[in-house]
Amino acid sequence: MFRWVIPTIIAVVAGLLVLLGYLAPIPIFVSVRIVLVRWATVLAAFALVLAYGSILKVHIARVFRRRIRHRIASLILLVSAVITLVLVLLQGPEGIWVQAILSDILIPGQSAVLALTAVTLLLSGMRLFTTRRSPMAVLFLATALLMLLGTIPVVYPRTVELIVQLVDAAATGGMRGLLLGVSLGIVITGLRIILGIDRPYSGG
Amino acid sequence: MNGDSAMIRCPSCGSLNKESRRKCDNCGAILPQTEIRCPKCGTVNPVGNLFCDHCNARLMQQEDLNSLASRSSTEEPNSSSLKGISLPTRSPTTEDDDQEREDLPAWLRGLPDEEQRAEETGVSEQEVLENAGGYPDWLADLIDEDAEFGDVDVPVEVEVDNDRAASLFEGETMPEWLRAEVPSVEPLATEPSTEETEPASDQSLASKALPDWLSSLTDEAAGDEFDERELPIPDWLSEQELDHPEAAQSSSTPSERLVDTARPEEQDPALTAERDEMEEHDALTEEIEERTKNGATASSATRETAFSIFSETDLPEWLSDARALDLEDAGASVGEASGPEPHGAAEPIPQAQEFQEPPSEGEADETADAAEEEAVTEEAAATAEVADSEVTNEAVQGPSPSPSATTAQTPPWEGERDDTEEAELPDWLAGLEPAPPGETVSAVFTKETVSEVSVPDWLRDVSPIVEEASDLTPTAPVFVEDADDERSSSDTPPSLDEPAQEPDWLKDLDLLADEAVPTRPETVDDEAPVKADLPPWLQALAPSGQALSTGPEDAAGELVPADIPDWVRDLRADPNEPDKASLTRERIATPAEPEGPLEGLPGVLPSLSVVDVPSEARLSADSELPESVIAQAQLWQQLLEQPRSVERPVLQERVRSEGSWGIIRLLAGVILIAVLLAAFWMIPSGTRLSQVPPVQTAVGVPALAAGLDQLTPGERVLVALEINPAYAEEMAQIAIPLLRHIQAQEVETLIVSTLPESAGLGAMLVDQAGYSVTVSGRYLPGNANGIAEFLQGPEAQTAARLIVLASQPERMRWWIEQNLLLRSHNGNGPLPVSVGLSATAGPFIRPYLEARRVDGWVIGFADAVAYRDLRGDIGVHGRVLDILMLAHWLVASFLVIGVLYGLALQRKGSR
Repeated sequence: MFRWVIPTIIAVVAGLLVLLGYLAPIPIFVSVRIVLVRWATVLAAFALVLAYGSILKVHIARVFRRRIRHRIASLILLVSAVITLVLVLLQGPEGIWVQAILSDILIPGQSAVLALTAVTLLLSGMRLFTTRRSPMAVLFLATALLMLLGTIPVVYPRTVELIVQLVDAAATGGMRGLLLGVSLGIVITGLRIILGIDRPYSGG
Repeated sequence: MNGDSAMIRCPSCGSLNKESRRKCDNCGAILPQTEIRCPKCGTVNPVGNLFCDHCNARLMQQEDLNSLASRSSTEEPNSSSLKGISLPTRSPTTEDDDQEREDLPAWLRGLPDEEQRAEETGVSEQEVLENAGGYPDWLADLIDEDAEFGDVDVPVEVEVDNDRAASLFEGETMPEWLRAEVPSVEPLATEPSTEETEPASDQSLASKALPDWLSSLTDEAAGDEFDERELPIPDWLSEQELDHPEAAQSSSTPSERLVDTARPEEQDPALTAERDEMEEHDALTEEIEERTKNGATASSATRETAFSIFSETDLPEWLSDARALDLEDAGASVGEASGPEPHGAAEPIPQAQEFQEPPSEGEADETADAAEEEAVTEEAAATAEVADSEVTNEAVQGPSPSPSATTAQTPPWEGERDDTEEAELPDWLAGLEPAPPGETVSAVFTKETVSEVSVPDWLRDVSPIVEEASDLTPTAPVFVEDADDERSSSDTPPSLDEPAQEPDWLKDLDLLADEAVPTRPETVDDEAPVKADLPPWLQALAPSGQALSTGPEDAAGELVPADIPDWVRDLRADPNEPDKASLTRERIATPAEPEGPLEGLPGVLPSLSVVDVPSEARLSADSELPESVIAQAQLWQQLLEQPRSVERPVLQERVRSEGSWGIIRLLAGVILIAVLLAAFWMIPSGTRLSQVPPVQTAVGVPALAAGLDQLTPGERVLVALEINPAYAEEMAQIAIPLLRHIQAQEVETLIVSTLPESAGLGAMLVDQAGYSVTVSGRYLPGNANGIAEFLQGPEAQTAARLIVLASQPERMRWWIEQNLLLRSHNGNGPLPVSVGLSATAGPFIRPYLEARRVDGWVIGFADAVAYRDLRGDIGVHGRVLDILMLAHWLVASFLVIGVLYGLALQRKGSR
């Protein structure tokens, strides 16, 4: 009863009200929809706090538990999280120390990882034909080459420009297909939740 | 993970372990074995093999074998999980026994062991060993080189085990085919007899086992002083005397001088009764042969009677087993050669001519006393007359009445069966009647020459039974079936204790003694050394190139050299070396435990179940292995013995490839960095690699710039910063010119983001853009809901434009879709949207760009430079763009080179 019947009823009613708030231009439905979306936003904010607490709990346990690998990493994470939280609480997001952490630690680190990813992809593309030679591999390499050459503002021969436009057209068509698929999936998922078929809120 | 190494899942915790591990890395549980390496030859055998596929060495310990056998017997009696082996019918006692048997030739493995004999005879193994000079009796014949024959104490009176004696006439001595067809024999064995009530002597045993007419002969023969000193012995037995003259001198009679092989019962006191029976039947046989010397054509039934009695009752058990094996082997080719046709339709075979040759008079004359000859000859003549008058006229009547023809197709074991039946007379034979006239009952008779008199029958029967069995059929004659039908009508089964109940026609057989005694086709010259009696099945085991036969031409003097070939002698254990007398064992060193509390201690935990192989084990059939198999095994051995550090050819190529790729990776990185640095420092500041303005290739940049130019001072601009820190550098090149443009329009800027880190990043970008006023920022939790909630708020209602700077395409999509939806519901219409995207998100957002849902866009660093070029503040960013162009070209070149290199490698590999 309290495990899934009442939550299902609440979910179905809330979903129908939000849907009606979008589809039916009735003020009460719009007001209800706005209220419900605001609740969701607040809950999401608290979810962020819960996530912060959860990660602290997990890594504190790892730090004080024996025979656990990479305890030092957990310790660094805990220290960083606490220090960042304290600094943001004290100085705000625009504080000097917070900006320093962002610009000197976070951004270079993540950019370096992304650069390594780019180099790895480059080498993988170079070794592609040594491990697999198939039409798909040829297509992948051709697309990569054209995208590399087409994203920089240099003068290309007309044929290359045409090829780049063809690749753009193909990319656009593919993305539209993906978007349609994603949209249909979202609609179906929403309907299943509204109808009570899927109950992610109660583990069902 | 290296795909070459298989993994084993732990049955306890489910974790994966390397195949080479014996214990689980996670929980320490013992992992199941996937293969068993033969400790003898190193061949890897699958789990379940008891013996090596290559060298036939034992792979599994005896405990495992017994457990498997008991498990299979309790769970599935008819199925065995072991591959390619049938569990032994008699469970081995110890590992030593099995190991010894492994080293023995195949024909010796079937011999009974000591425990079995001890159980049957009631004599302990220790006693037997003491009597045999410390060796088992079945091995004593092979190790008697230094033994003193005269030292063997033969007990005069031995209490014979009743069961043992009864078993001589039971199915144990009966051929397999006969036991299968005559199930009623079994009750006879359990029938109480006088043997159970009183200890049976050898004579009583023989008399109970024989009909009256044979018992009388036996008594007569036993009553006479049978001088067995006159009996010639085979060459291979004589050779033993040559080797041990002291033993020969100490022995008074040839039988005493016989090697243990010929008289194994002497080591076993319980078998003395059998030996006595044997001697009596020797005398009986000699008596019969004496009759045949007088020219009387006695029936072969009598001869076969003696023959069968020896073969069935007096043969040592170990010889009976070997003979039974030969019979089984020869049974496959029996039926085609000479299927018995009891009705006399058979054709005479050429050997029949030899049977008709009159026996030599001088062959047996020298072997018997003259007085005894006369007495026995008279009886044989009288018997022959009856045989001629009754058997020849009544039984031997058919289409081919020639006795030689009928006897040629007669298997000798039929005579055995008759005597056995007559001795025990199972009920299925009780009602047998003499065959009516016209039916060839004489098929049970066989002729032999008298030349075999010089060789004791019980020894000679070991080999000729194999030769003759190949010409026989294992099926019972027709008259057996008829007799069975007749027996079905009989209500009173005959008793063994009542020999008077035997049929008349069986009684008449004793009168056929005057028939020619069936002998082997070869006549033996009494003056020449006796030819070797080595049976052909033993000769077949001899290694190629070694002559086994020692014919008369090899003999020197009266005694011929031993018949036992050298390769058989090699199997003997040297009694002088007690260590070699019993097969030595090689202890396989147990390695020290590599881990756990027993680390460093060897031999604590049980070793692998592959240690039970004798160190001196040799292949008995090495010469039969083809060269290809041996070469393949040697190759496998070499491969398996290779240390793991040795790299195989495939791995070498792979390692070389990895090394080359490492060099290529390093070279590519170095070249990339060098080119970028060179371009940044060596290209003059005013020089542009691309002479064409970038704005000409950026389609959305002019629309974006035009949209921002339409902003009026005081309006509010919503800037959504959805930038991941990893894309901060790239997005900064896009966001900074846009923020400067917005600031130049003197509008109110509100920075929002659904990413927590974007708030701090927004502040940094504003600072780099040179904002003079404070820009507020907000975090919008809830992703798409947060965007929707924000767009419905008052801050968004009064905004004039939405600028989305996103490094991820999905967040860009959220902003565009929520803006279109909510703003349409409010009636104000959607906010005009301008976007700045990373190069990664560009292709994903292109459908929205093509749908004109966005008023201008900047995608990637190239569009950012174009925007700067359009705004007239390209500055140093033009050089950065040139360096980026060089980097793209380098990356594209590396891709092409890598593809060509891969193609070249494949072409080289294909060659």
